[in-house]
Amino acid sequence: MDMMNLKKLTDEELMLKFQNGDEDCYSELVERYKNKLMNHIFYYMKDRESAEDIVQDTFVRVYLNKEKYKEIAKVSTWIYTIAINLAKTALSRSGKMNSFSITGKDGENDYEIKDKHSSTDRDVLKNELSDVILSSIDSLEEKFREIVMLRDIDEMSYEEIAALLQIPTGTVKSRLNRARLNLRDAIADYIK
Amino acid sequence: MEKCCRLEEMIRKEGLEYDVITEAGNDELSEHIRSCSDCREFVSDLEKTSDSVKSLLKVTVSDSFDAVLRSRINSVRNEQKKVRVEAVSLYSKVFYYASGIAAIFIAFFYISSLGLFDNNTDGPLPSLNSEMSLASENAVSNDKSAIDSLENMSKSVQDDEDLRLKVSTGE
Repeated sequence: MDMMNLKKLTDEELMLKFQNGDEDCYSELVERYKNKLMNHIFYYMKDRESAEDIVQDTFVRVYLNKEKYKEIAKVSTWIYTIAINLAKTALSRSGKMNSFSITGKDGENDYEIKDKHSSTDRDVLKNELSDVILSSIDSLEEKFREIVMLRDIDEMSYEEIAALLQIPTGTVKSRLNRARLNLRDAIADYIK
Repeated sequence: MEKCCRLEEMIRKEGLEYDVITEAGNDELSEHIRSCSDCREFVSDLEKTSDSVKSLLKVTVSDSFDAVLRSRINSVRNEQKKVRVEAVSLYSKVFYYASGIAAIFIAFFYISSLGLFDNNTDGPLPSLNSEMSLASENAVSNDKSAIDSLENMSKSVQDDEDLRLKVSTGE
């Protein structure tokens, strides 16, 4: 099957074909999720290298355990669950509690800023704002932080978050509001 | 004038869902938000907060990600193949040795059932020794009769020669 046709398939269709031996479907799933997972796991690990290792491990596990995926769950939920569990295990092993850093080890940017037209001054402000937001997210309670990350950073739907965290959709929304209130208080001076 | 915190308190204390704020169409709360600048500002702040978080951070995998993953998958595949081959090889060895042992046992039991190792000649079949002696006796008697027939043949050839000589000399 050519790549154009693969793009039209849903995640669940791709997974079914992969279970039947079509490895191109696995590659397509990797393509769809590698950056989303990287972005998400980065906020757990707070380190690019460790985050990338976790994402690698996640896809290796998806490959090895393809038979274990059942159609009752969404593929995204399954993949995120594997990745988050790996990240939590890695964190609990290392006992790592770093604060967020917006720059890489070599001083390179760890993230891309969407606004390509920003001036130097705005870049400075954005980086300062990034630091404040990152610190604020980091200071949130785990249950709030997780939801902000899934909703605003990974852009998941309320239903997907509810399925992933196994909580009602209403709880997802109310936790998100609480989290946003706390973040708003932290960045109020920057968004006015 | 005191700032209106009605919406903020509803979210903080009652866990009001954000959708209720943005999608409230015709109820009293929606009317309040439209008429209260403080609450409108509060909604706007929440939206800006969300937009700030959404727009700031996008961490992507490194350029070598796909190549590293491919190599890891290949090594996993090779490992799986190796394990399968080793398992097959182990099964083959076990089967090979088991077959050999089974063949030895079957041969042993078959030979035992023939009674070839039994010295008792009263059995249903002759013993190996008696069979062998019978065979050798037959061979000896066959050899004797073969020698006799050769001797007879050479004697008759000699007689024919003598007769032919007598005829030619006219005796």
